[in-house]
Amino acid sequence: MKKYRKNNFIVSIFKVFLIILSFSIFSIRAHAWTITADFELGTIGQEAQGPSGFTDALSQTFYSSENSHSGSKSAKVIFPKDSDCWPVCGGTIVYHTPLFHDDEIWVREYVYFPPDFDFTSHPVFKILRTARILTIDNSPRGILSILSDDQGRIVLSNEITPYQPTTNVYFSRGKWQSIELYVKLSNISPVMRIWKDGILVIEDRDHKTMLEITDIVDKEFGTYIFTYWNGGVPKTQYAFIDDVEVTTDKPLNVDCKGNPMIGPLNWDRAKACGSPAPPQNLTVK
Amino acid sequence: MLILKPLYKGYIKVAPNIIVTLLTLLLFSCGATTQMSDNNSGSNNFATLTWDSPTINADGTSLNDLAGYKIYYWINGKSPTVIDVGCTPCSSSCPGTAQPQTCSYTIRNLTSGTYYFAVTAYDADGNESDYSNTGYKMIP
Repeated sequence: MKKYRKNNFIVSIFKVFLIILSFSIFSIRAHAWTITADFELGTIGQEAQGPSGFTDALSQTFYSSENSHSGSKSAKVIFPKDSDCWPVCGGTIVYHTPLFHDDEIWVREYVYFPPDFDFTSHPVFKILRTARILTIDNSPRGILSILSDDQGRIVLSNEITPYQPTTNVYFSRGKWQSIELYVKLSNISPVMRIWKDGILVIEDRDHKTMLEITDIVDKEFGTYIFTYWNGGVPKTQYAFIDDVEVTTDKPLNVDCKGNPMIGPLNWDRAKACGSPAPPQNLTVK
Repeated sequence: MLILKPLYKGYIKVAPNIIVTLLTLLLFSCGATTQMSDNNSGSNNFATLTWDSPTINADGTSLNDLAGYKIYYWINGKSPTVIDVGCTPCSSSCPGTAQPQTCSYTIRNLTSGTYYFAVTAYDADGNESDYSNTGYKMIP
């Protein structure tokens, strides 16, 4: 009888533990969050981290008033010649929570590359890395990213499957542009989308963004912007970053096809969607 | 027969026809040099742009009211100059329903510097596309 009581007590404790555990997991997953970085509160010339900047700005990334998309400041990133950029160029944003199977995340940044910006790389320059997938025992599986090829074309990168298609859309030089990545984390119904200035560049639904239902997204890795240049930077140059937003809360804007996205600031869907697609393959002689 | 006195040590006898030949060669080479440099500046102060016309709108629907193109060009750090070239570069696919076509336009009389170029398309309502990819040319 005593033994039965003891077993019953252990089972009860275990049940309570399970209820608390599932409730806490539910709480974490139910809590959508948004992080923004408009770089307005920093001191010019200081590393661009803090309440309105990156969680961690790398060593050559500073608050600047030279060029901004909105407000008066942005983050200026120096790319030293021959550097692989780590831990020199760009910055990172740590997430409020880990992400789990079936979760969604949107990351939008404004980027300015000067007219003579050289994208030469061997083979890619990493623009935006937004989800580092871990197994249940914290082994890394890979990262979901936007890259640039050596011509400045937008590349989707899924290291989980892996899958790395190059698009025929180029990063703009000499103007601010909105670049956005969306990921639905799933091994059943995965989605990755990239937008440039609110226009869908590529969508992939065919490659898993998580391999197992127990995989998680590394909260501490979060998002990396401009942090690695394969093959070394071809010349010393710079770029600007502004108006970064990371959210797990479904945005209100939709693209031309009705997909939710953070979108460009002051997004005018009717105007943007009714506009011609840009001319392609410009050459100058 | 002319007798030329060099700077030192004696005299050199030179036939007049050789003098004429030398002078002619000198004048010709000066003229040729001038001509070449004129040609250089004349042939390199322009930029010819070619691009593929869009056939769809940003939302993927058919582009049936293409009305022209704008060319943006600038020197690093300067505001762009904009030329509205209309349908001239792509007359077989513009205006109206755009057909796949390679378009071409030449900008002349550019001064020295490195120029960057981008092209946009616009429709009958004035809606303008995003920039094409950016190209560049160095004008000597």
